Amino acid sequence: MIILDNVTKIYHDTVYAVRDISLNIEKGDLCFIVGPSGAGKTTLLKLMFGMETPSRGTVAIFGRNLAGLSASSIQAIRRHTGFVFQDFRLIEDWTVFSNAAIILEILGKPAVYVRGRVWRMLKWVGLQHKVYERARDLSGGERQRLALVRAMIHDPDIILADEPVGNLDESMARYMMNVFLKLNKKGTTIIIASHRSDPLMDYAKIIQMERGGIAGEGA
Amino acid sequence: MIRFYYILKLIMRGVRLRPWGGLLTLVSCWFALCQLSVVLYTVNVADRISTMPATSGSIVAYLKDSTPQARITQMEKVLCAMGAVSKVQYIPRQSGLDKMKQWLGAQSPLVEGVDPRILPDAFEITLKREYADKVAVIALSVGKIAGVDDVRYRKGLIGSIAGSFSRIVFGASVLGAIVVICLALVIFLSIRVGIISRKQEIEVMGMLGANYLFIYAPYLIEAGTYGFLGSIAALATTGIGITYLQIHFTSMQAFLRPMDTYQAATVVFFACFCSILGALLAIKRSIDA
Repeated sequence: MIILDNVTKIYHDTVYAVRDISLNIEKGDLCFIVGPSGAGKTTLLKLMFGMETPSRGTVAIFGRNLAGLSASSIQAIRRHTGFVFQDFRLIEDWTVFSNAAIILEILGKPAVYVRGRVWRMLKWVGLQHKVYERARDLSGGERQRLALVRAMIHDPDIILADEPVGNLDESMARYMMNVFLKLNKKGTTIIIASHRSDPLMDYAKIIQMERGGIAGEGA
Repeated sequence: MIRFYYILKLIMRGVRLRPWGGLLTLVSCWFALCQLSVVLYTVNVADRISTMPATSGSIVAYLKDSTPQARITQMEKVLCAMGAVSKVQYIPRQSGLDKMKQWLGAQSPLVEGVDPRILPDAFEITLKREYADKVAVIALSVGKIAGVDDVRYRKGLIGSIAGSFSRIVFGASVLGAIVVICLALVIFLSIRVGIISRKQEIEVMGMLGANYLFIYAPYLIEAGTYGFLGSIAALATTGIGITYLQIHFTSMQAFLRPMDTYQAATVVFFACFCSILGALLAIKRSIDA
């Protein structure tokens, strides 16, 4: 489903964020990318999402090389992918409802469906009482939950999550990780970048990163 | 499939974000398009004047009394054969009086109670537009035709306007082009500001996979709306102005007429076209950046 072939990403001609990485993530995989800060986890996820172009090597998603795709084709791939950004990337001026609903609106879902789905998802993560508050007024944990809802609400084929529970308390973090596990059991490919260990890793493929390269792989 | 409802929602968000900016843009559009309408009215006026009797676009040749009908027919043929002449119309004295009543108003002291027998028969000779500058020479040659008593053309300001028809059209075209460019620039700047103020929103939508149409359609519709509403308001304003002039200055009724439907449609079309063009430039700038 996601194939990286000798991918290298260099910033400013000298900084190697990712170095010669080759990966093959199958459909339905649950994959953890772990490593210390600055190991290149976020860059690797961005490369998979088409937000960064590799300096060398190729990235293929759904069997299509991203380098050869037009902007609209990459956008089409993104519509079937959920991404939880480390900094959430919420639209600060918009309400919680609008932030959660935007991807469904982009997909052209009917308004009635959008309303019902958004309410259900927000209730599920405990944000039903904040529906009409602006995203900028939310706490860190609430923002993270909203970012998770936005990534999952359209049942994407792939979820890429960058430190998805970093701002959540222990019980909510546990809850969200279990949600990831449930989604994975339904067939969703999930790739989580994290700098800390998690019990969920027992069920996952682990990719250990260090200084931009893969230091080890295992299950 | 993108639903129009969501695009409308995005437009409303934009309006809520910059209500005064939108209003100012609309006022600017209205003002620019008022100028465009005035330019079109000017061309209309010049066009009508150039075809009015006794202006430099046309010549009136008054015939001597008791000119026989056979001679009149012969004179008409001679006039029609002249290269500079586009139309020749024989006006018997009664028709001449009727025309004067039409131009001046039936109650005008100049025509009220006038006996048509004191008026001469005449030929109204309309010149081809390109010969408007040579009216004096043409009038001279018309005056030399046997049976012609007097030749009249050019009457003060009206005559000057008619004589300058081609220059007026050229000037109006230049002014029109400037107005159109200004309009596109106003819309470009307004939409650019709108895009910059909603940069984060656009970035996030792009990252979530929204295509360009979904992201930028609201801006195109917003720009088109400015152009449409601005042009309708401008046409209404200038229309009211022209009606006021017609009511209060009866002597201007002859050449001051409401804009033709196709001209009004052209104003609306150009306004929408230029607005959307300005918006497209702003969007392209944003995508390139």
